[in-house]
Amino acid sequence: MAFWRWALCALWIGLCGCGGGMFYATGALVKDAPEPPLSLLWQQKMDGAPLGAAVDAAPLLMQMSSAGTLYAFDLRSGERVGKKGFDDKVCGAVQLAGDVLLVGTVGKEAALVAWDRRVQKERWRHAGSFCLTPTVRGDTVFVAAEDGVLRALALAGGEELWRASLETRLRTSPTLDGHYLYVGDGRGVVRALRAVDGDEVWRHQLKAGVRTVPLVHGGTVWVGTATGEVAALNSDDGGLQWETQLGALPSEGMALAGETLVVGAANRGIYGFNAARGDPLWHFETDGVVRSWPVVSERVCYAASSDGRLYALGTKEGNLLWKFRLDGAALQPVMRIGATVVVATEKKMLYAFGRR
Amino acid sequence: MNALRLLCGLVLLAGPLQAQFTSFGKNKVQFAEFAWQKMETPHFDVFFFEEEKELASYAAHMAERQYRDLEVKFAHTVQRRVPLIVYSSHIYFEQTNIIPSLLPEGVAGFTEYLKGRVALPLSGSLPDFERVLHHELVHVFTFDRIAHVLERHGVLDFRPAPLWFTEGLAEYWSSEWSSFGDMILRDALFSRRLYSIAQMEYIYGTFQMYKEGESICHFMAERHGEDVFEQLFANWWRAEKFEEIFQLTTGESLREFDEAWTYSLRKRYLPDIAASDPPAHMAEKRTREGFNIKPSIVPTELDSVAFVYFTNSQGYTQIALQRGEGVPEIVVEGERLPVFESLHALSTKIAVAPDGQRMAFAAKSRGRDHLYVWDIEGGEQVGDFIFDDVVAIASPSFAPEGQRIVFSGARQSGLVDLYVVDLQSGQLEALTRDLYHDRQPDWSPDGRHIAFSSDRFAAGRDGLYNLFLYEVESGRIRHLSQGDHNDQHPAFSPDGLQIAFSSDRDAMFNLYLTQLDSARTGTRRLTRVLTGAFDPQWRSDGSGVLFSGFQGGGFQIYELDIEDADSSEVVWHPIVDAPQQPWSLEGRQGESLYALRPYSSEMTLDIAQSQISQDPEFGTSGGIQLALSDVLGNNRYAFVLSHIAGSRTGFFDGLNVALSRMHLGQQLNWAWGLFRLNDRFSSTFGRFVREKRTGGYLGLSYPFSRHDRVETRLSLRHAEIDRQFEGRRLSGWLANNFVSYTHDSSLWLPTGPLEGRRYSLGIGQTVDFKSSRRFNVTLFGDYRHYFRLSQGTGWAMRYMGRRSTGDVPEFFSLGGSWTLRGYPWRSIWGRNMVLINQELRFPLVDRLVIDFPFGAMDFSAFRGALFVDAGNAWNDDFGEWRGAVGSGVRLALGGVFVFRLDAARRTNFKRLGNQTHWDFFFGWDF
Repeated sequence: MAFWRWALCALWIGLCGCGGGMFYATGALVKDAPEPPLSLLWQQKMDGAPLGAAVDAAPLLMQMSSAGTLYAFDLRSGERVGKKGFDDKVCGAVQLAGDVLLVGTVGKEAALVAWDRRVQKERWRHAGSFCLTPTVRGDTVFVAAEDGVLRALALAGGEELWRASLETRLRTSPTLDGHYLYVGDGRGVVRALRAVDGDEVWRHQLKAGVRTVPLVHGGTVWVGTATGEVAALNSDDGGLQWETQLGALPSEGMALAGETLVVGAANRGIYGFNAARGDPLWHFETDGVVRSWPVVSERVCYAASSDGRLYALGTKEGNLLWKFRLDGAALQPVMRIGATVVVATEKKMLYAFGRR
Repeated sequence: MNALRLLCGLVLLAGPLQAQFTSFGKNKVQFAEFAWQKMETPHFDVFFFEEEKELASYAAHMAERQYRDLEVKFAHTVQRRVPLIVYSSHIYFEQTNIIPSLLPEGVAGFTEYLKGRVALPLSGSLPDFERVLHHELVHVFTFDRIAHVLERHGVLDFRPAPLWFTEGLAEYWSSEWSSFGDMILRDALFSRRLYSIAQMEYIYGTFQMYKEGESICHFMAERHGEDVFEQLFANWWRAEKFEEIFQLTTGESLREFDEAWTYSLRKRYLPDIAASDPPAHMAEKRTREGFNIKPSIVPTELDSVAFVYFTNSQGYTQIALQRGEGVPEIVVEGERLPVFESLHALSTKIAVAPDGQRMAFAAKSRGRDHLYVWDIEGGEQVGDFIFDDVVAIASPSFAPEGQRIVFSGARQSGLVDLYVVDLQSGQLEALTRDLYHDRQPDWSPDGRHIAFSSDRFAAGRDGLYNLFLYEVESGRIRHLSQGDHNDQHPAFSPDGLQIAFSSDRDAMFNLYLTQLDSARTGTRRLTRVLTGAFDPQWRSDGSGVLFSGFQGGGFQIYELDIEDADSSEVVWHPIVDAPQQPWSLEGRQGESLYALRPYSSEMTLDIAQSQISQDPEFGTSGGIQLALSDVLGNNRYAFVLSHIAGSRTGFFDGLNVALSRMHLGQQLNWAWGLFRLNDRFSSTFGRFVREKRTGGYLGLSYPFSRHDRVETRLSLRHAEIDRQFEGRRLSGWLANNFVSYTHDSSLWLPTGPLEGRRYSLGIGQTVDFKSSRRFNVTLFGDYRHYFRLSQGTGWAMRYMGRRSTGDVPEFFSLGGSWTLRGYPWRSIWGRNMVLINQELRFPLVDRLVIDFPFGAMDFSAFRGALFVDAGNAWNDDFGEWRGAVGSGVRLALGGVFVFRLDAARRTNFKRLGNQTHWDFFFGWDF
């Protein structure tokens, strides 16, 4: 036991140098997810409500709290193996790139802070208000500031490689897919930019500000807007493939499995659409706002609601397969990490579910 | 605030006699007692009484529907049940004990933040009730959303939103932009009274602030997207000031936005002046001072026009009579006496009998509306009608023979219908009986028809009104004006062939004229005012109309010759039968699926606080205070536990405990309390007394009306008194009782009363219960009269006397800013006291904003005073009168604090002293 604790702590501080897994913000594309009914594997209290999604740092799980504390838990046992507090107010979800944790802070010295968990030191900081989750590929960090400036930074030293000013507010993170970054802005313009230099390739105007992280797969970009419009665009030229209406603010992100596109909404609904045509497939109503980003596999979709429940629905028909009563509203993304489904509540509780 | 008053009350109740002199203030009277019940919906606890069960059921369904709407708009779920208290009438609503303050008639509902309660009355219109409920629920969501975001990010101090924003958002999300909004903003723009966001404090809490706030929210959504509000709330934790939150959310400074908003209003409204004029430019202004509304022609044989109307030119709402160009005469004085506690000037009108001798009006008296008939010339009441089934009355209109009156009345259920009362027999007949809001009836000169405004058509569900015609003989109702607009205030012409009315069909409230045919109506516009024209009333010869016109932020009465009027094209419409059931509401009686529970007066915490303090004289002290109450606020507990750690006393010697229980749910309010107090305290005459007392009290207060009450209190305590100032020690079981009568009908400015009267008379005694030895008998009297000399100037008089006799008399003090100026605070004392004050109060600056380094302070009034004081306090020998003359200034800050600076010279009324005594203090004028 002592050995494992030592080993896990070593992982946390990165002494073994293997680092955590890389997370690409390309939407919740999940090949498989554990089948319900799930068992509660463990639950852990934090000092604040969750800030963004849990991060896969196998065999650890990391979760940033709204109190500015980054927690690391053993994914299997739920044992807390470390925590790190940040002096500045943290405003966005943490991103993990090898040994580097990227955290956006606000206040007088708002910045994107790169913290090296191996040497336990700040590696660099880039001034600006970066409350949207950065995207990392290789040695480049792509990060959008709320003021509408998109930047590519060197992961090693934080130097700016390029910047693209979109001249409008950004409310969601960009998505990197292939050679392009896809980003939607507060005025409803969806853009594709070249990842190498930030040059715009195409743009498409929607009816309202984009409020979901673009989901990109198989030549299509799906986005949702503030007024509940869901649109599918051609990822090559931005041409509109289809659009439909949810009637309410969509969840922070959408998820795709096979031909089913799943999105939650503030009108309590979880919606399944045909991803290729936009036809509604099913609708499931919860008892609260669904802001939480769902996670979907071919057979099951996990989504959480402000009604304090985690739901498992059939991906094809939206039928309720299983549900679990949490201790409070769940507003942040549901994550699948390996065979574990993770969700945290506004009551500062982190839950891990799986099959025993 | 509740709890603070309660705790202050507790201390007073447990105190000795000198603290018992009754404080002034108007009463919240529980004229009606209700058996409350609770309806439980998924998100609300709806509290109601049996008579309004149908309304509660509607409210429950409305609230759940609106909850879902707001859940989407805020993208937020309120994580608690919301108590919703509904009242079927504003009269009942005014009785609420949820908040301690008196509720003016303009308050359509409120959200209280201590327990998150929402309370609102039905004003007659169910769609309007729904709108107000929606408005209040926006406040519930706003508060909960902000609280959630701040808690989530560990921000301990609550950062409230600016009032213009919360009220503006509540208006924006609860209703469509209305013609009233246009009227207010257009008028503000043209009369140079439009306040930018930076200046919003100047119209704090006013209807204009609500409408400007709503307009700003519209513009905000237009400019930054509908989700800008959701984003603002999400960022609430990131900055302390709204300006900063706004900038980091939108990327635009609030100042830039403010400029863009005011520019957008200019662009929108300035073109209107090409085709319209303010009322004063197109009609003759007939009234000048104050707020004047709802004219009603008095037929006379004179050439000139005479009319009665509501006016507040002298502070109170009154009915005035204007004959020709003469000076207006006050015919009925309202709001001073219980008999005309309120004249409902905004929601009713005055009816004048065809003979011109009598008028009828509705007024609130002792918890319900009365229909009064008044002899105009004789100046006396000749009829007073109350009806068992009708709680609220509005808009009477005489039948042509003058023996019947039609009016709109609200049943106990809150629903408003048309009624006819026979003035001879007093018999009441309901003409309509359904859920539609039938209002403003006007009887035709031939007696065959009654025109009225109602929401009994399809678009009425959205809060719109059309005109209808009730056929007296058949009871048939016909739809007179048709369209998705507001038509109101119908008035038959003297020949009965035309009806003048007010309508917003062209986006502004203007006067229209409809000609009646047997099967159709032809309508044309009479006015093109830039702001609003309402309440048309025909001159006796039919050659013109009087109307209420809105301009410069207020109403005046104007007179318009029909031949000078705008002559737009006549538009003809067929008159059709009114639909039987044009719309219905979810939750009709018997359809409610929600669970009902009897009301349980479960106590929940209002406030809990603790404190610790260090005082060089009294030592270290600490304590806790708790206040609890039920949802309706009718039952209250207060508990105080404190300890003063003196170095020479034991633990129990320094312990103070007091418990108080109050019941406010009936007209007779009662309270009891138990206390164990042991303190050294400074008495009201500035000398030290130590008293250890253990006992209890029972207090009763019976308000007769809003203005008058009688109070009595009995306490029994075991006391050990050390009157250190006279070296006497006393002990024994003391019984103390007093009785007092208090009247208060004063009208206030921010610095103090300006008009009306206040007086209090009382007697009390303290007796040693065991030995039957009388400690003291105390008499007190206090009479204050305020005369308004002009809009802001008044003369105030106070005559006060106190006398205490017996072995252990009470002592009274004089001196200082509140009593005898020119003398130090409480420097003159004795067991007899007399005081006379005469004071001229006048305005200096209406509003004073001083920029301090820490921020601007806004003094809502900066006023001056000239005074003469005379008085003395003595034991056996009166000595001579002591007096002072001087002047002072008062600055009111936020309606809570008044800074007072007085300069006085003493006088014995033979000569004036040379020295000027300065006195700086806080508090309202006497």
